[in-house]
Amino acid sequence: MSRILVAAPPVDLAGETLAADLIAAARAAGHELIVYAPVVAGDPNDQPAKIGLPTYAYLDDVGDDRLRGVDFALELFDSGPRGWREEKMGVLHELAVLPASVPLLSLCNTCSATEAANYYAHPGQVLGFACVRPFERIKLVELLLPLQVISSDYRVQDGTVGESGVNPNLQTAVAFFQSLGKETAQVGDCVAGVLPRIVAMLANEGAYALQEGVATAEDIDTAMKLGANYPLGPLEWADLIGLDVVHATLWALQAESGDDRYRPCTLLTRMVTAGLRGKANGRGFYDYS
Amino acid sequence: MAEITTIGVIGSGTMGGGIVQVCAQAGYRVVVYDVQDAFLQRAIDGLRSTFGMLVGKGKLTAAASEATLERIVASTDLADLAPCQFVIEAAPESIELKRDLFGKLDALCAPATIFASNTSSLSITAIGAATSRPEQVVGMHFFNPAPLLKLVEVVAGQYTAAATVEATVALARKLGKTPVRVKDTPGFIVNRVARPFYGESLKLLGEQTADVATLDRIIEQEGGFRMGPFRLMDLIGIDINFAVTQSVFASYFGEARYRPHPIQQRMVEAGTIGRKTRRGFYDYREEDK
Repeated sequence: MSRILVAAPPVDLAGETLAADLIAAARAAGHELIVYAPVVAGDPNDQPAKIGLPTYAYLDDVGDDRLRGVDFALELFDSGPRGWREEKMGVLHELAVLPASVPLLSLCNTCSATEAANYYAHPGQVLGFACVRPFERIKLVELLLPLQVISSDYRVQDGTVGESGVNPNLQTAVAFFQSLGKETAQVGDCVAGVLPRIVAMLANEGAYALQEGVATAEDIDTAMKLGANYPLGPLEWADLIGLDVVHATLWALQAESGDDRYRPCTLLTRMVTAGLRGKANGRGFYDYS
Repeated sequence: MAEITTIGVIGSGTMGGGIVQVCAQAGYRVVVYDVQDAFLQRAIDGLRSTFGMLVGKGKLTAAASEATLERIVASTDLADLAPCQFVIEAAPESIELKRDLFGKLDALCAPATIFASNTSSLSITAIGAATSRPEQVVGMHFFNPAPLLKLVEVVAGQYTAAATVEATVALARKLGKTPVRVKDTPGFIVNRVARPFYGESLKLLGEQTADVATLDRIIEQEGGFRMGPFRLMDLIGIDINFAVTQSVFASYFGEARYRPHPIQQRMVEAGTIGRKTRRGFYDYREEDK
């Protein structure tokens, strides 16, 4: 079992978020977790953590000895009340206090692994991963290698890195997700990997249809489950993933590519502006109160 | 609104035949029309063999099978649809053909008769405009195979009356289906909201994020989709999927979200369009040996 430094947004620790899912799964697998949840003063969305573990609001409070003893770090910022990007950059910057030998697994549902590595003091130690929630439903997690650590032919599917062979951090990530009962698949670096990107696009399309009055949210979800055999309707899935995360995924895809196909539906943007996160805080396309 | 006892079905192909079966099994008298006796005979023979199989499996009694078949009348004379209170059209997807058929029905049937089209891609509004009763023209989009799949998209055209929609919803329920209400927009719900499932997967393939087998594996194992997009396109036919994508893209006047992918066009050009040509995104020729 590993000792893992987990960095997560405090607002995500009340449950129904990927960060809460991952922490619960890692605890259940017997890993020792040190949870760093940097407090945002005066955050109206802040709720008490429900992960059953103490959290550290300041990295200094963890102690140098314990920080030096971690096997790897797990950085889980894909959302946040002040905009995930600013917070993710901030926390990756702070994590520079970790020894240069410590691998860092960065959740890349709202950025590329290359971007995450760019914010970290030791870019060669960064490995991205992406997946949808609920975590217990999925059998596989996607792993993304940042451009900073791959060979110059930009083909990374085989998992080899230049002349040095397999990236050792890949083995760390594969073993960690194996301990949580998940397979892994390595894919080329991109924002949100494969499935979180596809589900964000399906949710966006469902949101456009809802905004245009094509059908109700219930009927859109029913149609996709019965007519196309989807495991979940796109709108109920977005509520489970978090509307803030889905929106940030689309925003990052559009920012990186400049392609209009990723532009978030204005209804979705407005829902996120209104603070509706989905199941995490009780209201999204459906009402959970 | 007159009670529905007799349903007219136009077209006896795969969809028409399936709709005839669904209506007759629900206890309605059915008049099925097609342009040639041979087409009708093939459809009736198909039903007879389907029922024979169900009787063999003990899922249907021989008496019920006979009674169901006796409720079906086949005709090559459109005038035989005159006594129907409800007509479902499942003719080939040509707007000229459908407008011509609905114009003729308008003159033949009682003023209260509702006309439904099983179109998946044409405008209900355009079909309704060919009649003197656009308020009684509605979409009733079944999914293939109609006897098995529960979903029916009930589509309201620009001038379809609420009472027509409700009568169609009620009929769909009596047929054992789950209806959803949809506004007349390109692709309705399923064919529109499903576009990114294929389009984004093709884009990921084009960017060399992962190969076909890895993309399917991720989408099935992580997403819980029964079939990945490439396996599914091979099953549906890459040509058919490409045609639907082009139709939705054109109907939304070039909206970037629906942009077709050149990979799909190349596959069509190569004549390798999936299982029916034994080669598509996967190679099925080994299975034949």
